[in-house]
Amino acid sequence: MDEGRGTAEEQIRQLNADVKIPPRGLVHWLAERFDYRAFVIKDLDKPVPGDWWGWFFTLGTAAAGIFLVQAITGVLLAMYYAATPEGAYESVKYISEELKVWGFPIGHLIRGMHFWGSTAMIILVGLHMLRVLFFGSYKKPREVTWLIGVLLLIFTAGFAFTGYLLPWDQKAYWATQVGTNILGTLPVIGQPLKVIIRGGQEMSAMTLTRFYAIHVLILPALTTLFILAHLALVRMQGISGTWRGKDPVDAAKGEA
Amino acid sequence: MNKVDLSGYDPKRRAFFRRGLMLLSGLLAALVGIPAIAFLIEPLVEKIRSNEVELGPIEELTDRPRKYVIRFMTQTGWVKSEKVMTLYARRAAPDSDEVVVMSNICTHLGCPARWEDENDRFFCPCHDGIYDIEGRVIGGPPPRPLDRLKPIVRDGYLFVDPTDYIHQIDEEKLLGGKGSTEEG
Ligand code: HEM
Ligand code: FES
Repeated sequence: MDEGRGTAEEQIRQLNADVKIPPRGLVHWLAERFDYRAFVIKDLDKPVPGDWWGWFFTLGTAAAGIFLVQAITGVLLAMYYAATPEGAYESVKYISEELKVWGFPIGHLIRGMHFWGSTAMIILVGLHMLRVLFFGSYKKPREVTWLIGVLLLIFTAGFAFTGYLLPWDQKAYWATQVGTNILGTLPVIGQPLKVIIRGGQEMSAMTLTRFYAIHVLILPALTTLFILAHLALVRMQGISGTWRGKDPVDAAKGEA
Repeated sequence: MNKVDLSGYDPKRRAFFRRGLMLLSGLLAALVGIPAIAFLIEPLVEKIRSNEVELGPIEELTDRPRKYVIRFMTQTGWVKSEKVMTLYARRAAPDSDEVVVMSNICTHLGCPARWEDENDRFFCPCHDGIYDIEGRVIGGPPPRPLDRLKPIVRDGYLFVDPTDYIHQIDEEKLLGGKGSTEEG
């Protein structure tokens, strides 16, 4: 360790300043106006703690990435989807079987991405939570990040539950019948909650439209908002270290 | 103040990873972006579904327009619906085998025009549009002649492909919106 080289962040910044900006072109034009490197280095170029343990710290970002993919493919599907008992099944079938570009089954591909993406997101969010648990990263001062995480977990499950009904086939219908009945077994609030979620005593067109509204309007807005808060907290507090506690980031924060 | 050993930081190595990361991000973006764009342009490459409808035996045609009301299924997206359309068919000359098929949709604002045999003209009651037997405008506001459909004669029977025609009207952006193909 040599003295007088400043904090780790400053030193890393110094090293990053070696990044060359091209003499012309868009990047040059932008960098002339605002040195985006300050942002890139500060927020996108942070070193990850640990050696191979560091890979576990990418799980949250992976979950966020899949969320982005879900948002894009979801908007595309919404252009062809009809949330009515007459239209739902037919429109989904149309997307899967007839939506083609020069013979390529693009509808099937986009629906497939959204379908597998939903499973991937559940898995990634679960793994991310386990990593936070095993590294003890939920401890003071990061309890609020954890609590927001719990909300995000609920939202993710909500996406899966509401999305499952939308194709309006037998599997979707009965899965939702069972799911909402389980909700109904909650003491006291169960029954009213079930009726509200179903939009009536029985499953109907009302159930479909409200599941659709929750799936494409409420949950995306809430999830986006809370992911931003989640990330803001991680940035404000700095990422927690590994239990080895010798990584530069922790040291820079003076809290390893 | 904590100090850190940064001897492991190699600017060249970092630059390499930075480039690798950018490449990887670009690849991932393309993986989602290219299918997304392909999906979005689908309406442009949507194929016209051909849909031949029979009008009747060719013997029943004379050189005077004969009215046919045809029904056929169309599909827009996942919605299938029945359309009704009125057409006039005739021989080009009394003993010619050449057949002329015309739509009754007035080229002004889309009302149904009708053949008046006694007056030897097509007449549109909405704004007094008048066409001759060839469909040429001879009076009133219509901007162009009545539309023609390609006649398809097979085994002595006359067919047309109305889906062709529907696409054509959409393209010409007939005033009056959808060019009302419903029977009026
Ligand atoms: C939509 C779902 C989620 C997304 C997109 C997300 C995203 C992220 C990201 C990008 C990070 C930065 C570091 C890392 O990846 O480890 C992070 C950290 C964190 N997440 Fe999540 N997360 C989600 C769900 C959760 C859940 C379900 C929990 C726990 C209940 C949770 C608790 C935390 C905590 C406590 C941190 C701080 C970790 C630290 O400072 O070391 N997150 N999250
Ligand atoms: S619509 Fe036929 S004359 Fe105006």
